Amino acid sequence: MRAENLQAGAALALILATGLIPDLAGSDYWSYSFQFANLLIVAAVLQSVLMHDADQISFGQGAIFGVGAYVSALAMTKLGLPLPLAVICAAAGAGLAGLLYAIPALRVQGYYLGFVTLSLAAVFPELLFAMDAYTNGINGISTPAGAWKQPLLLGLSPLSLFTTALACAAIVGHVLLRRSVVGRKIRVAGASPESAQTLGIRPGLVRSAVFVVTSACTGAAGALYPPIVGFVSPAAFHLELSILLFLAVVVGGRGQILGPVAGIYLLYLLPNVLLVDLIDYRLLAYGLVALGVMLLMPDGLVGTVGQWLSKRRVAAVAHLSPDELPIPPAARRADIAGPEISIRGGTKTFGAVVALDQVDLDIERGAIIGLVGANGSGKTSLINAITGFNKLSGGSIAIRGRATDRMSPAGIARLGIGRTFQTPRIFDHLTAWENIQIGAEARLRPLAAIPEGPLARLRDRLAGSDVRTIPHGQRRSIEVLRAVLTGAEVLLLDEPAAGLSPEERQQLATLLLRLRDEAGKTILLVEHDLDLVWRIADRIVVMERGRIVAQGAPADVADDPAVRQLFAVPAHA
Amino acid sequence: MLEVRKLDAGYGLLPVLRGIDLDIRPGEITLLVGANGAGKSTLLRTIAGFLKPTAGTILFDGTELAGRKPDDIARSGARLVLDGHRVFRDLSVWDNLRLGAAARRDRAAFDALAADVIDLFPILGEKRKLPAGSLSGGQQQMLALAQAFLGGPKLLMCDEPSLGLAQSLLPAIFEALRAWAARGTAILVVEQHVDIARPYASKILHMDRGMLQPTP
Repeated sequence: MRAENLQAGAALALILATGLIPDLAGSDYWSYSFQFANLLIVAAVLQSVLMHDADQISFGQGAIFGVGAYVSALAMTKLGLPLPLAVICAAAGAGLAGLLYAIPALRVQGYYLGFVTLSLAAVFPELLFAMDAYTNGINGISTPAGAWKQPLLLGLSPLSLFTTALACAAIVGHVLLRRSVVGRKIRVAGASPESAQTLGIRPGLVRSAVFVVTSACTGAAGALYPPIVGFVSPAAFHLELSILLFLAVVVGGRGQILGPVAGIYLLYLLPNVLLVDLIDYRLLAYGLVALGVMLLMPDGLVGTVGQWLSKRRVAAVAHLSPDELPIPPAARRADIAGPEISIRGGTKTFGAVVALDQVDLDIERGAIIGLVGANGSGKTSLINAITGFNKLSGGSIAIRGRATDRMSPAGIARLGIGRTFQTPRIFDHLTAWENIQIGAEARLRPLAAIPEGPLARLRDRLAGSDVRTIPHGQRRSIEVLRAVLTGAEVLLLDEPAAGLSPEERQQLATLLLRLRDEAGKTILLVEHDLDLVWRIADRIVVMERGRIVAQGAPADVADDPAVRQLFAVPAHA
Repeated sequence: MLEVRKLDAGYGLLPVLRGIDLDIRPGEITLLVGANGAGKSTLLRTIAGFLKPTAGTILFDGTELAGRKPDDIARSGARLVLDGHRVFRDLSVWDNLRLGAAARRDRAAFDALAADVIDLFPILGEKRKLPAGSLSGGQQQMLALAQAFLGGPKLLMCDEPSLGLAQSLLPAIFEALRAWAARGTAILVVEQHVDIARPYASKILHMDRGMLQPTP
């Protein structure tokens, strides 16, 4: 938080100084250079939001910027619109172009998505040639800036003020986005789509929305290009621009607030302005700078310097044990007859492998059901089927009498079904507290207020903590609390005790019992620690090769041969 | 074989290990227990070279390990098996085993050792051609151990071999460790299921807030 404020402060100071001082000093050359640099900074900040916050790779933001520039030039010359209206048109046009990226983003991810955007960006200049009736082909469109370059006061031109304000707004907007509920949801949807779904977020929708919104804003920045440069032509929007924006984020420091500013200064200003005598070798200079920085500073300029600085500070280790987790009071709800979850003939096959085989199971309200079985017996498959991550090949699942066969995982989560994962989904870029908070923000179901005391104490302790300092076993507690805070009435816990010490296991047992007795939760507990399961479960379900082979009260199933073989036979050394 | 003296280590300026003294002898299974965050995994990672100690010495067969690179330490015969049974899921079981010996060039020794390992875990022999990702969790943990055995380590360190495994598989894992210790390998294992692991241990060390406590 503190580092982010410092970086934002530095970025704003740099943008204000470089955006305004050249005008005050009356240097047209530097005014032009920094107006353009500030536009690129806006585009790079948006690229950073896309890449780091939403975890989407785009190699084509230069084309979006170009769409904005061309739409604005056309709006001003052909329609005679004033610049502010042209900016709005450009944003709309670029938003539409962003939709072209958003559609593949629904289907492909990572570098595959990057290559789709790359090919669209490569086509863009060709498209400008093909549509020469409107774009004038290679000659481009001339766009005089008119009054926008005329000094208002002390030599400051409206264009400089406009670009400086836009760049400042991008930096401030990025910081505010990071700290907002929406920003956290975007980060969760990017980092772990599965986890997002359990929080009722639809990751595909979030990704598309981010593409469209960042593209619209990139287009708005592009709209200022024609008045600054005086004309638009296809040559300005080659792939090179897209790669510049991508590399600026990487070289500046992925995910750092100051990163895009540092990246644009290094990759644009340094080769184009300071080394202007070597203009013919511009591409070479640009490659060398990028290579040099990445070799010397693998975390980017800002990231690496930040690490040097933070090494001198002692980080606090956060500890979190299960007995500290606050318990919400029981929600008052109309009594519905029948079980919370009811599965009939549930079958799931993966090719020839039968993961679930004719499973019939009722999970009654307010009970702890222990689900045990060997590795690969279908326990996690059952959780995935209930939460909709895997659709059943046969049979049906109903939650409170409502069939969920056609519902999305996010929709099922909103019915009040929370889960944790075998490998906890913890987000390193959020603080320990934010990792918990995203549960409360998802608010799947109205949650009776948790007594403020314990939660506030936890918040105070974990607010500044780097989640990476939390040991493995305790990360599970974060995920359990996150699921509780969503207000989910049913908790499906996948091996919550793995990696916990004996004392922590005891605390976990107490926590689960309190969640059942005080908060009225229904819990399905998948766990290899059979002693724990036998101590707290109301009913035990035993799975073997996808089938339920035994179920009943703990004492009754203990002697079942299917259960006996699960227990470790103590060695006699 | 392994002599750790006054070892301090941590992340950044944050101390985790404080003044660790530890002796491990060939043929012994040393069990390291303690609460989460006590520093058990950090100790294993420091010995294996993933973390640089800030003070102290780690003597392994008389040579200093502190400050050397993880791959260098692994080649000198100290091997760490990480938690969460990490195997190469897309490679076959057999290729995974061959990778275990990648640092060694001696073909005849590898064949003999591989035969031994498959003797110990017959299931890996049966499934040698299948991708490792198709194995169950327990079998993957066996594969991870087998991989480490094939490197012919003098010191084998295991971080929570039981993580995510059915309890009934644990005795088999510890039997395998015992069989390997009987050949003169020193074994240092972190495990939370103390009751199951205790009978196999020659020595139990308790760790608390970065320091080793005398075991009552």
